[in-house]
Amino acid sequence: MIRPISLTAMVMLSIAIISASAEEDREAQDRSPRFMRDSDGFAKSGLKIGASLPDLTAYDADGNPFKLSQLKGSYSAIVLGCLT
Amino acid sequence: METIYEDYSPKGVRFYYLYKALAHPEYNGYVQPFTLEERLMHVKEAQRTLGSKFTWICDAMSNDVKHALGNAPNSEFVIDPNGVIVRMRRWSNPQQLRKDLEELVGPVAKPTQMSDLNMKTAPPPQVALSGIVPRIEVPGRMQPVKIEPKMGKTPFYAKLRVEVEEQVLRTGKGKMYLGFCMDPIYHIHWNNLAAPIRYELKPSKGTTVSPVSGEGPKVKEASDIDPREFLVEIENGKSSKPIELTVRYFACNDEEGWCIPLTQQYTIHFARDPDGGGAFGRSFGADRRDSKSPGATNSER
Repeated sequence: MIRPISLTAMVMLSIAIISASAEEDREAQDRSPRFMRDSDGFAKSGLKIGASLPDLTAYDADGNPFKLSQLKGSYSAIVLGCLT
Repeated sequence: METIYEDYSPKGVRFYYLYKALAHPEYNGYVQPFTLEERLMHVKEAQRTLGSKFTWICDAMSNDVKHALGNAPNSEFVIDPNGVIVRMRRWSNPQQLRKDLEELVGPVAKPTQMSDLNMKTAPPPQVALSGIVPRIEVPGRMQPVKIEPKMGKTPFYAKLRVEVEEQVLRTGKGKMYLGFCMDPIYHIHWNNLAAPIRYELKPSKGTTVSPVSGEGPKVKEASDIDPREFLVEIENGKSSKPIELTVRYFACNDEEGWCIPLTQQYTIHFARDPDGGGAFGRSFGADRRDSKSPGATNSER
């Protein structure tokens, strides 16, 4: 049974990317109060419009170091995600 | 997202998926990787299953980028040519991203539609039966805790996930969940013709666990990929007093033609794992399991 979610989370749900019922359920869970509480890290991260990306090192798909500071020279769109 | 890529990549916009710790372990069978090499295998799996043309980059196992970019499961950023954040949101929103790029780069005369794309996607791997070993019921919401696998040369084909009732972290007393899941990136299954999985716990002095050992069910089918799960009672669990776990099991890879016995060890800490994600059916208190487990169907490769 899906736990009731807050009004704020309901508004966010309305703009969610939905393609199948399983995906709908998964994103509904992500907007549960617990997950919203955990995701408050986004609001508290200190990141803001006008700031530079943190100078951290990730890896490319071959395992080579990839510095976020490389993302210059053109517009870049970055989406965080995972398999599940 | 792919339609936006098709329209704006020719205009010089670069698109990246940043692969991070799983938000929902066990969904579709995927489990948290233990090493960077395994996380990079996840990236290759994501490339295979999603068919995206985005460039993939991968967070370090310390999860530094995830932490620095706000710890949200699916956040989104637009960076200008000077490396400055010009747009950011907690939840990726393709419609809004398209509007952002229209403002920043310019509109597209004829936006690509999904029906214009011929994306090649593939289902998750399933090398043996699933849905034949009943899942256990947990008492309530469970929190993932930190574990340290004792790495050796052999991968952890069955991966441990440990969760505790929230009260365990407050009072040291309550239930601890041990779940062993076959990692689908290795195309591995349980060997039910051999002895079932067995774990043994060795708590620190002063901590009580019950039972200290357990054995998985005997399954009549020769192979399967269902999790093996156990509930353990904890008393006087403390973050300063880890528990050692040894697990013994048999794993098989039909593609490579081998079955091997494995003995592997972990250290379990009574400390919440902030990057552990949430498993459906346990972390959210919902009665929902991996919706991709079809039940007792013959789905062997």
